[in-house]
Amino acid sequence: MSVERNAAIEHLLARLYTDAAVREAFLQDSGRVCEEYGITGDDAEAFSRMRPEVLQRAARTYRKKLEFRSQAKRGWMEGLKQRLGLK
Amino acid sequence: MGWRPEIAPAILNNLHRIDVLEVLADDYFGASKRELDALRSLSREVPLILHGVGLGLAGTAPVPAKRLAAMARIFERVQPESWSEHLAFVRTRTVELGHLAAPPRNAVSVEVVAANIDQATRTVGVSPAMENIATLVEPPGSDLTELDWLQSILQACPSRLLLDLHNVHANALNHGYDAEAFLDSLPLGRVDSLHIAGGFWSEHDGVLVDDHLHPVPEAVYGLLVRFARRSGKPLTVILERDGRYGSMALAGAESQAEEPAVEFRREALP
Repeated sequence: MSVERNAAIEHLLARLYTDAAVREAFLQDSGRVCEEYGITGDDAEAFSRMRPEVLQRAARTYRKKLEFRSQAKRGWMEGLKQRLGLK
Repeated sequence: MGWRPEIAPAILNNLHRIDVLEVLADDYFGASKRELDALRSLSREVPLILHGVGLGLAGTAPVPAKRLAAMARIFERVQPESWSEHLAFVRTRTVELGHLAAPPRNAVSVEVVAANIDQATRTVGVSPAMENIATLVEPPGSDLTELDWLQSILQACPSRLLLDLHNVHANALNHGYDAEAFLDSLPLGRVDSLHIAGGFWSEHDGVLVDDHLHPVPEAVYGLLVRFARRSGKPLTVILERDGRYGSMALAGAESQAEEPAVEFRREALP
């Protein structure tokens, strides 16, 4: 067990959540994609057990969370300043 | 309440009914002095907690020094009651996820979390409370259960736990463990605040999705009551909602629904 191994797993997870092409390739052949990312053995086995529909759902969830974060602007600040007598 | 810009007017008009506000710290990393002064003024009206989402304290990628410095700046300027972050990674060396993801749960990530929390504590000056996250995907590379991982982290560092009950509920449903047994196994003394939220069940995918867009389910209130019964101290309970707010009355009704659990605790105190 090593930091590098954890980093490789995090990296492939991040790509699967955010990159549709990597996700499609993975769903076609998880072993090949794992190998590309330096993931082998039990870890590759664990990746192969991911349910495709859950992975797709997770990816949609990340996309929606990103959209929410980008919309969460600080537009309220003007109202708060006004209420607190700062403008 | 979780502070959300879209319902800021309603929150401000109901501050007398709100015991604590949780503000998403990352929204203010680039804020002007004037904006931070406004937050400081708000913190004088109601206790504030700064809640970070972008440090990635459970990830192997280095925690960005600029983001940590920004958190320290906001903490110093706003003087909140406390701050919190997540047991998650949000980036790798080349990918910005933009949201929380579960890392492999093993001894290495426990060490990584402990080191990152230590770095964050030294930079900000105060240790963050750490929140458990919901995950649809069981992270590969894990040889610890979520419970064992959490307990190992709490043993490895002095942080408190921000316990998200909907995340416990969702992970228990999605990954087949007993949420009540999970709660009962946590060290009570390390939990000083709780999140409650809602989500939806996807028939198609067979999972509960933690989206913060739906009312808090009864099961989560049940966990809250159960936890309050075990707790030996007053609890800070924060309602998280990221949209579909309806009216403030809705949020108010949800807040009131927390009351049985909270009141139970109050009555049980000497």
